[in-house]
Amino acid sequence: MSIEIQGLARQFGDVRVLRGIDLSIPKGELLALLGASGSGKTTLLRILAGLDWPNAGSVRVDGQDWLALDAQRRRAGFVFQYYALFPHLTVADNVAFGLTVLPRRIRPPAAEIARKVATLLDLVQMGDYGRRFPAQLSGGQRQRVALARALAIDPDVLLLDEPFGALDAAIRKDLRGWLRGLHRKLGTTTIFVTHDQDEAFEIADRIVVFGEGRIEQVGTPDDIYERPASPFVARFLGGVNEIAADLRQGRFRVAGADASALERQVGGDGAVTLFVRPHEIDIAADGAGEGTITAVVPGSVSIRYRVSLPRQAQPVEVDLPREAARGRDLSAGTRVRVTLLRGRIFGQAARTASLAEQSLAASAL
Amino acid sequence: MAVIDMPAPAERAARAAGSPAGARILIGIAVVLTLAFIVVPVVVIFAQAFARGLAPYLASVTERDTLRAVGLTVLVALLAVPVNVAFGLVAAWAITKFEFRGKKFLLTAIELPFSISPIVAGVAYILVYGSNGLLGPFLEANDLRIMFALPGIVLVTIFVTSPFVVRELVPLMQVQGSDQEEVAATLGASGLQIFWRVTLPNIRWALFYGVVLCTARAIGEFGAVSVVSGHVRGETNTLPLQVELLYHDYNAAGAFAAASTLTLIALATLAIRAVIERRLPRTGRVGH
Repeated sequence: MSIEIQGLARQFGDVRVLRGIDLSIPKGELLALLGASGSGKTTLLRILAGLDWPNAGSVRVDGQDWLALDAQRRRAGFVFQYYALFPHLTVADNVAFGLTVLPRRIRPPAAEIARKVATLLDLVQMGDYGRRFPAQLSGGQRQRVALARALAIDPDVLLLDEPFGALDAAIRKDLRGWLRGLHRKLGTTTIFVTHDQDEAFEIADRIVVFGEGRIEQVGTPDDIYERPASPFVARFLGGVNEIAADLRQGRFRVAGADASALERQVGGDGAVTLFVRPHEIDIAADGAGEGTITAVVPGSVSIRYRVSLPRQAQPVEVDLPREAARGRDLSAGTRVRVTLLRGRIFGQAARTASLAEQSLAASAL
Repeated sequence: MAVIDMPAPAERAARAAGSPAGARILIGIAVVLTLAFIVVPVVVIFAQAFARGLAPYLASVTERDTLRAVGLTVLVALLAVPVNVAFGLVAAWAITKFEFRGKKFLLTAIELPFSISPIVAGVAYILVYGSNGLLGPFLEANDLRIMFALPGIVLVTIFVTSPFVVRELVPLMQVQGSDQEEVAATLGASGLQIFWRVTLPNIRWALFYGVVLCTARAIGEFGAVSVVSGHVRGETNTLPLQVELLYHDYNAAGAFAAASTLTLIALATLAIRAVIERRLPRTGRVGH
C-alpha cells in the first residue's frame, strides 16, 4: 500500500505537535520515523493508525481517503512499546483476537483460526508458547506476540511505536535483525518510530528525521549521515564537531589544522561553521603540530581523542579506528598535526556546496 | 498484601520510637483501642442477640415486620446497586479514556456523597420530590408518589452509594491506560467488543469489589433513608430503621437480633474484601 501524506497538522491546545507533514511512502517500504521525544513522530503514527485525528491535511492510501475510515476499518496493524497484550488471554487467544472479532458471516471457522495462529506463532518463533499467558513471557517474547497479533489481520501497513524501546540492549539488537528479515519475508509496508539512531540505521530502507513537528530530512541512512540537510540533522545524528573556519576564494582555512583536502566552495567568503564528524579528521604525532591531545577515550571499535586547537572554543573530537591508532603513539599531552578529510557547511553556502558536490559526482560518473 | 507488609511499618515505628519498649507501648495502645472501640461492641451485639438463647433469637429475626424490613432492604439494594454499577462504569470510562473540559469538576462531584452528611441528602430529596418540593405539584398531578415510598428510598440510596464503584474503577483504569483498547480497535473490534472482551476482564475484580462495598452501604444506610422513608412499620422500614424502631420500643432482644443480621452482612463484606484484595492488581491505591 502506498501512503500519501499531505499538509498534516496536529495541535494539542496551544502545542503544535505536527506543523505540516508531507511524506509519500511507497508500497513495501520499511520506513523509520526518527526523532527526539516530543518531535511528533508518535503522533503521526497514531494518526495513521486511526487512533488520533489531524487538525488539517490528508492521508491517502492507494488513493483512498484514510481519514474518513475509523481505526477498525483501516487494517493497520499497530504495535505499542509496552506490547499492550491482553493479560487475561493466552498467547494464542491474543493472536487470534483480530480474527475472533470479525462479524460471524466473514469470520473463519475455529479450526482455520487455530491454524493461522499456529503459523503466525511459528513465524515469530513463539510456536511452543501458545498456551501461556503474557505474564509468563519475557519482554522480547511479548513484543513478538504483539507483532504476531498485529499480523493476524493481514494488515496493509504495519505501524510500530518504539517497538524495542522497553527491551534490554542485547535483545534489542537481536530483534532488529529479526524484524529486518521478517519484513523481507512478508513485504508489508512498515513504519516504525524510534529515537534510537542506530536502530533506524540498521533496520530502515529510508529514514524520516523529525524535529519539532517538522520533517527535517528524508533519505536513506547513507544520505542522512553523509549529506545531512541541516545543522539540526547533523547534530541529531550525534558526534559532530562545529569548527570555526574562514572561507576565502572557495578554500577553507582552520587555524592550526590542514583543511586543504576539503572540497572547493563556490563563493560565499567569510567566517563559517564547518560541521565535521569525528571520523573525518586524522591526527598524527608531530612535535611541530599545533594540536594537543587533552583526553583519550577508548571505545570498542575506535578510540576517541579530544584535541585542542588554537582559536577553537571547544576541543575537537577525533575518532581513529583501533587499527589506525595502533603504533601512532598518541596519548594525552601529545602534540599532533590535524588534517580535516571532509566537512560541510549549511546556509547560503551549503546550497552551492551541495550543487558543486552533485556536479562533481556527475562528472565522476 | 497488607498482611505481608505489616511487619515493616511496625519495625519502622519501633525504630522511630527509639526502643523495643516504645514499640511495645504503641502496639499495646493500638490493640487496646481496637478492642475497646471495635471488637467489644460487635461482640456485645451478638451476645445480646443470643442472650436468651437461640429460639428467642430466631423468633425475633423471623418476626413479621423484621422480615418485611429485610425484604425491603434487599429490594432497595437490588435496585440501587445495578444503577450505580452502570453509572460507575460510564463515569469511570469517561474520566479515564477521554480528555474534556470539567473533568476535574466531575471527579469532585462524584465524591460529594461521601463528604456530605446522608441526612442532608435525604432533606435535599424531600425538597425536590416532596409534596411541597420543586417537582411536588408535577408529581402530584400525575399521581406519582416518590417520597415516603420505595422510589424515594431507592433514590437516596443510589445517591449515598454512588461513589463506591467509580472510586474503585478510576485509579485502576488510569493505571491501565488505553493501549489495550486502542490495539483492539486497530484489530477491528467494535466499541462493544472492546468493552466486553478487553476492558471488562481487566477491571472485573475492582468492579466486583466496588459492588460489594456499594451493596454493604446500600443495606446499611440509615440517615438519608430515615428522612425519606416515612417509617411505616412493615411497609417503608428498612432493616437499619427497624433496628432503631425496635430499640425505641424497648425491644432490646429484637433490636440486637436485627442488628446482628446487619453485622453479619458487614462481616461477610469484610471477608469478601480480603479475598478480592489479593486478586486486585497493584494500582498504587494505598490503604483506602
